[in-house]
Amino acid sequence: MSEQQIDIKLIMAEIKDEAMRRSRQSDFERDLEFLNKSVSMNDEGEDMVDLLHQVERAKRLDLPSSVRKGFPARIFNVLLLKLYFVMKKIMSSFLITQTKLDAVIIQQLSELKKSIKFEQIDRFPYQEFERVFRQKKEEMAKTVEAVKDQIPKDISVLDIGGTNKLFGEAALEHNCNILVSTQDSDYEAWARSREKIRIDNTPLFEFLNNMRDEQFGMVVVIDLLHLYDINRVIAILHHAKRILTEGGKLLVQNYDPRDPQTYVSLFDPRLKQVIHPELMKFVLSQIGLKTIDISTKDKRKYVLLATK
Amino acid sequence: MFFSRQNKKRIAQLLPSFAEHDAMSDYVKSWNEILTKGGFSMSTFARFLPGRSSLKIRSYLDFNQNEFDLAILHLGIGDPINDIVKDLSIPLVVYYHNITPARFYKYYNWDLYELLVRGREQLNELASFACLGIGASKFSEKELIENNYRQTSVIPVFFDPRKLGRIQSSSRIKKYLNKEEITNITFLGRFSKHKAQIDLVKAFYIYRKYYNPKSRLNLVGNIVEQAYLGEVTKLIRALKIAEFINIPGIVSDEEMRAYYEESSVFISMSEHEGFFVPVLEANYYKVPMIAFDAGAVSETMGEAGILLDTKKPEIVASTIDRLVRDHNLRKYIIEKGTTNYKRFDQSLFTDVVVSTMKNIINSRFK
Repeated sequence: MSEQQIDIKLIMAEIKDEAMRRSRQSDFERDLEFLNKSVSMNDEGEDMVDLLHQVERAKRLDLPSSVRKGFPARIFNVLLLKLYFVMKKIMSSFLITQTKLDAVIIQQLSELKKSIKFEQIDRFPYQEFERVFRQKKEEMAKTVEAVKDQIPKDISVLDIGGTNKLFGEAALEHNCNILVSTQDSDYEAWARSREKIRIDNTPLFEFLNNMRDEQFGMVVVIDLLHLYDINRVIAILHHAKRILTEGGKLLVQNYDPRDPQTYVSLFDPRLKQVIHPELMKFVLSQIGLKTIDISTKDKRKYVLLATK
Repeated sequence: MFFSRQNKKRIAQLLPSFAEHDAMSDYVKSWNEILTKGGFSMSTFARFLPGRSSLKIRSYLDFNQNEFDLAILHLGIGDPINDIVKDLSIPLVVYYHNITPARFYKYYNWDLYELLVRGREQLNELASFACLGIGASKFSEKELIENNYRQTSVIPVFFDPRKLGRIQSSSRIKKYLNKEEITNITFLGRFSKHKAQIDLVKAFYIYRKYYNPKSRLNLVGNIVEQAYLGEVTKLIRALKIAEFINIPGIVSDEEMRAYYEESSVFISMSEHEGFFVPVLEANYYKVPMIAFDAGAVSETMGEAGILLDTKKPEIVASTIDRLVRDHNLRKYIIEKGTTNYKRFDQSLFTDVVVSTMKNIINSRFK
């Protein structure tokens, strides 16, 4: 076969089709589910490593050598770690944590699986739902149009979530350097050919913790906060304020519960709560940001612009 | 030669550690050779010195800027040597080999984590002192620009096919790999979170189970992060595929050649590469390759391989299967590979390196 006859794009499409075809087998599906679950370093593992780091750091302090080296010290360290995990387990039963709530959901799901044929649920045409009910491109363009003039020129922008490519285009038109924290592979593929957009896949809070103070002229959080519980929403906004330069702008866009049409877009398994714009303004003012409304032509969304 | 013997300009190269068979050290040696031929007088300084070396290396404590007309710092990790070149009265060039994001090491190697964090701080701090930042790839140059380096350019890591040609393939490894006509799928690189061996194991599990039961995954490379190896082996045990995965640790050049030559596919799921030398080695040994698109992988690989934008095990496995079976596709990629590695031949960059340094010394960048 000559070179002309090799079309890598076509071959990739065939490869993906073949993968899809095979992955419909029930065994295959089960295997993929297992592989997806086997994430690196579970919670306990991370705690263990953090503790080991502390031990490592302690070693650098001037501790008696008997504590640091030798067989008895090893036994002592192991006992210490065991004690740590036992204490953690005892303490966790007294605390209402997100993990506990997750456990309730997992419990409910496993009961549901037992009581009905779960395969029926898997067949819900989610893509079809998205096509019919989710915001259309032209509607998204309307909201972006409304905020476009608020983007300063030649600044660094942080886009938390990176779901809106149109906003990315608008910021690029203003010659901004854009850092996007996202795990969305579609967005990443789109951004790859755009030199001024940089993607970071680090989990959101690890990413935010690593950001220096006052390094962005603008932070945008578009259609994201409804997916987080209240503590995390507040944490994200606090981080946003911290990393904004003085006078920098925070742009928050989210679903507006005042419009009933909003609710047809929100059949989302990740949904935590819809946040009323007045409540959002209250939260932003508590953080110490001055907020103004930006009116958009799409009634399903509200946009707030807060200044540091 | 553009400088007379009496008027030879003197250049110092500085790097944290010099060792034989180390990528950065080899690169420093190449520059030493090019610039010496270009008429410069060269000296090399390091903090960790080799016991024995073909190049004379001096301790960084002996570095005296008054003896030189230009300093070149090779930056790839946080190190005190990166601080001593700040505020020199002679021009400073920073050659940025790239620094692996520290987050990959946070839970695996605390010491390295801290060095990598410091390295990025130093990369930023050095911007105001360097008259030129050179990236090992466009990807690295982009980071230099983001860190506000005044002038930037790209001079890639050199690839010397003659060196690989001199290596004899290990017959022992060849025999082992050929046994029972198994399809060998190989990755070469240190065991480390960012090299993502765990994603290779997942894809291989699907490939072996649903496409080709007569296959083996070779994960060749130095085992430094024991905790990460533990994580990978835990998954291997859970999937019950230990007997189909070969983890030989660090191998000799002869063994490495055998691994390349006997593999049907070279595969990488690495999430960060400042420059991706194994691509060029695979090109040279005529092994078709699949790689996840990260860092400088795409610019190093060009069209000489299949670039994936996903790590989904089902897609990776299907890609391996296609590349193993489709002879036309293999031939196409191998052919592309034979021209690809030639783009990084040292001879193509000799003039650029010499003229760049000459220009700086003539203060064109100042």
